[in-house]
Amino acid sequence: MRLPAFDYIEPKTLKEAAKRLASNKGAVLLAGGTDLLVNMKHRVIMPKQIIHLKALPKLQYITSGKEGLKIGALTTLHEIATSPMLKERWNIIAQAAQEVGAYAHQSMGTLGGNLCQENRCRFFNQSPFWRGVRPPCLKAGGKVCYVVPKGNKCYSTYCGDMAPALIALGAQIKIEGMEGERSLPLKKLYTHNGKKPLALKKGEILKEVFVPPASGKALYLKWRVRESLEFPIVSLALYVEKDQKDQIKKARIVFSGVGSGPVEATLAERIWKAGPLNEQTIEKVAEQAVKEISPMRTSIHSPAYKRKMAGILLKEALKQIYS
Amino acid sequence: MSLFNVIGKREPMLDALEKATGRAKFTDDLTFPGMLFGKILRSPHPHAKILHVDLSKALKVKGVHGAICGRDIPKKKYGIVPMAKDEYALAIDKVRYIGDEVAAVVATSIEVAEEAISKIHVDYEVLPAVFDPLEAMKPGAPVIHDEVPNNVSAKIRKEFGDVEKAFFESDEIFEDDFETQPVNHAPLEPHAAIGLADHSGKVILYSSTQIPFFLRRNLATALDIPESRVRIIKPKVGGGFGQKIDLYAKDFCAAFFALKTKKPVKFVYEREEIFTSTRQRHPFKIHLKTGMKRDGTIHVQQFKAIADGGAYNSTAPLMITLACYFIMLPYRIENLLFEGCHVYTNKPVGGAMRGHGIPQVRFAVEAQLDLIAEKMGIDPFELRLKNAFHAGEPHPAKLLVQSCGFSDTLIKAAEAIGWKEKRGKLPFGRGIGLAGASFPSGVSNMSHISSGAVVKIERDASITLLTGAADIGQGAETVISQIVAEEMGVPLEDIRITAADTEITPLDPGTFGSGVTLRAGNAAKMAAQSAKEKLLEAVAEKLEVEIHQLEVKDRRIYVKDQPEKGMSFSEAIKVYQYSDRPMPIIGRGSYMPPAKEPTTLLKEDGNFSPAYSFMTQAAEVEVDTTTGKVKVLKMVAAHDCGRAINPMLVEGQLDGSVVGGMGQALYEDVLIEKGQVINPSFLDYGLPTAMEIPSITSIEVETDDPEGPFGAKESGEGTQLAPAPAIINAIYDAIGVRFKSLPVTPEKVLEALQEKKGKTY
Repeated sequence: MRLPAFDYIEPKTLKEAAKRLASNKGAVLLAGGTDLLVNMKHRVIMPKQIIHLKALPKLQYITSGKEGLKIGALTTLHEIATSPMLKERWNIIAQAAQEVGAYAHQSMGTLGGNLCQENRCRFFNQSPFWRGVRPPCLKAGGKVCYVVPKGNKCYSTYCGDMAPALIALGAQIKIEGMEGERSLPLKKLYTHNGKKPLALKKGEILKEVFVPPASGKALYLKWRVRESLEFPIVSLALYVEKDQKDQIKKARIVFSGVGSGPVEATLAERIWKAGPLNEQTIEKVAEQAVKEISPMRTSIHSPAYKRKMAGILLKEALKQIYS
Repeated sequence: MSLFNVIGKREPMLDALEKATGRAKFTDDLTFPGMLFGKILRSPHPHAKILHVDLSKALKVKGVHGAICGRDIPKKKYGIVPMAKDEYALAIDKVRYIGDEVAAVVATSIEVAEEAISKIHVDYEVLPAVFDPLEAMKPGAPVIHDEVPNNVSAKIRKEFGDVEKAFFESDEIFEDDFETQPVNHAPLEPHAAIGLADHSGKVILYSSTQIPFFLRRNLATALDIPESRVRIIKPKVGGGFGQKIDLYAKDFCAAFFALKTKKPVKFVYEREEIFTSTRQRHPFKIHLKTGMKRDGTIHVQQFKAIADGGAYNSTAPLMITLACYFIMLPYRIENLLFEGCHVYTNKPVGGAMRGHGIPQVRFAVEAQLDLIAEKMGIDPFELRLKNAFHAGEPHPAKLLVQSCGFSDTLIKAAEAIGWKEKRGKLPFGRGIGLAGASFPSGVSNMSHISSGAVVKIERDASITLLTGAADIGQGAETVISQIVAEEMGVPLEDIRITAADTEITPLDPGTFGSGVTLRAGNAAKMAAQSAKEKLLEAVAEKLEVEIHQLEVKDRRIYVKDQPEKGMSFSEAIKVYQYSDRPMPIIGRGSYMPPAKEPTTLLKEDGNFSPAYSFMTQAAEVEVDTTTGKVKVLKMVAAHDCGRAINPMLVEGQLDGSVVGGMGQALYEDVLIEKGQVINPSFLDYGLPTAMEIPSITSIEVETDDPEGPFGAKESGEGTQLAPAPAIINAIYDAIGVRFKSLPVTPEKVLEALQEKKGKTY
């Protein structure tokens, strides 16, 4: 597999990058490239111009203070996975980074790139020869979806590891654009529209992830067949914070691999919050949560299996978080 | 103290440094001035008639030097087995699977070639396709090859003893059905070829091949030119596992375009092409019926095996024969009936893969043996030991087994896994299992079955070895050099080796059927012996002793009982030259295994291989009963390879067999939907990674085979037979679920556990 031809630029400032991105319709951003370059080799993305962010100063940092945690978008997953500070105080973030792909992906891949990774589908992430067996699918610019042939919507699946963990922690993101900077909850970055999964406007670039202070417990569990390389068949992040009376103040359950964006199981969260914590509640939470996810046949694993594993994984996670 | 100086030593591979530093040259690393790059257009249909191929637009792309399709090539079918030729390098009238070759182009760059390929227009008439072998065998099913109207392209029936009577005499009869999956060899080096033509019209082909001499024959056939006009050179090869024994379109096209354009031409396959358009291990459906005597004797076995062959034959008749022959060992079975067939379907093509037809059947036998053991209340280890074959015993089908360490491998593997302490005694979720197997050290493969070697002693006392053997990463060149060094009484570093070039090195059947060490090793040993004798003649004359009184060791030639009476190797060369004997000293060896061809064996009994290896593998597994994931904790591989010429390389083979066996048992499956491979990448095709590898204990059992060079037998393919059933048997011990289809994925385990839980309530 080889890359198609493209123009290449290395802007010196974020402003310049945003300007280039906005002015050139066929431009895309390159950070670590572990997602983009494979898609380009598969010819499902054919950008005219690549804007490489590697020359941008000051977007590679992890800082923590009273107001919370800040991670620059160009910080590599390897730096996150191995940061002693994160491991000690924000272990779920380090743990999620450790679960991404294999070592090489973590060395090259960045936090920003991971959060902005393309949705995946077994009909989309294939070579031109493979896809040539049938007319192009919706996501590749065609008119049909082969996952749900009668639908007129793209069901491609979000498969990132970092987003569920960060959303569970209530992370915010900073975005640089033509009209300056704006912040929004990370959760809002995801449109749940398979065809256009990110809510970024023309020329906008994810700049920083901010995590507010979190005193609760958090956990990320990923289900895959092998211990390396793979995207989650299903994964989930849990966050639970109690008040001084030992009542649950915040409870979050966020899944990956089972929808067109990270899926928060809000109704299941309510059952969990209402408690009491026992086997029965755990069963009920899991039962509710699997109703809130919508896995489709977008990978080699069946939706029924994903659903089954989501329930099992959630029960395991709930037990672990209290043990 | 060891009898030997070089044999039995843990010598690093001769090319280890080159490979570790990235300097080794594989086919794709080679480049020639003016080289063109090729691409192949493949069929998007599982079954279709080719009505017309329009190359005109492709030929107009700037930088294109040629474009061809089926109508441009000689109408010469080829095939790795001469009696089963059914393939054209480029499809002529019909495509038979998604990925079948339709056209090819060469251009000044890969990008241009890709662009040109996209401009070829093909008119197809889509035909009904068939994907299931049972469907393909039914009357009225789509016919994939006109010559084979029922789609059954190879069939065997082999019987010895009296099967009907034996079932009548049996105290208990067991019948089970098993199913195995397609597995891809997944060599790390992609298949590649570079063709160069000279002025005389001869073509030189560098190719990632396991068998240069087969490739020469097949390429000459496909190009319709004499073999003398084809020269094959094998650069470093990064793994083959059987996938690189066949000729592929990349070989044909590189040679064809080189002859046509008079420029060097390179073709390299993408990983996806390796998944869809090379070869894979045949999926099998197996019905196995076994009759047992009350005392635990395996009295009779009956097999019905259907191999899903995909669109072409490749090794079909040989594969199905091997599947039959290697269930005759390692147990003593007096009565046996094997009925097997190879069926065409519109899917990727089945071919030789490490074990070649046997891993599938072996899985069935070893899984059923554990079932039998349980039902009859016999320990599975004892059951195997009781029925183990021994050296020198008369074999019911007249196999000649001169050395056999099977019982030893069983005992040692059981001991190392902790059979007595652990079997049936571990907590729920943990378990151990074992399985046995046997494999030929080279099969007689219907054509080139001989191996040749030349050993030259030069004026500076250096030794050059020419062998046709094809090192594909297993260390064949190292092992054969060790054999020559031992025979010549010099250290390994004194041997220079040139291998696998059909113009320079003697005929050899290549890396095929696990016969390299025995065949090429024997030939090299004979060549070394012959060269040595010529030198010793001169030395004996000078020392005034008889040749047989002389010994060579540590670069010295001396009289056996008087080590001080002798001379160094280089002095001996001088003595040789001063006695007016001709230089260089050349020794030749040609070795032909004393065995019958498998095709004649179907009609009569007789021996099949010069020597047989034996092995037992044992596994300890842990099953996560919540998620269904199986973790292999430990594998023990006890192998009778006669004698380990290089124990480190034998261990390399055993380690590899464990990884391959784990893949077959738990991870790997080429998933196909309507003829299309849906996981043609290392991301979705779940080869076990380093993270999955358990602790591995290798045990070499030495039996000193009389036919093998220095007593050596195979340790390559055979090692792949036992690990998968050992793992499956361990899973049974862990959770009490018997899996009869592979691979055993977490999904299947979870389902089985939930079903079992349902039943116990």
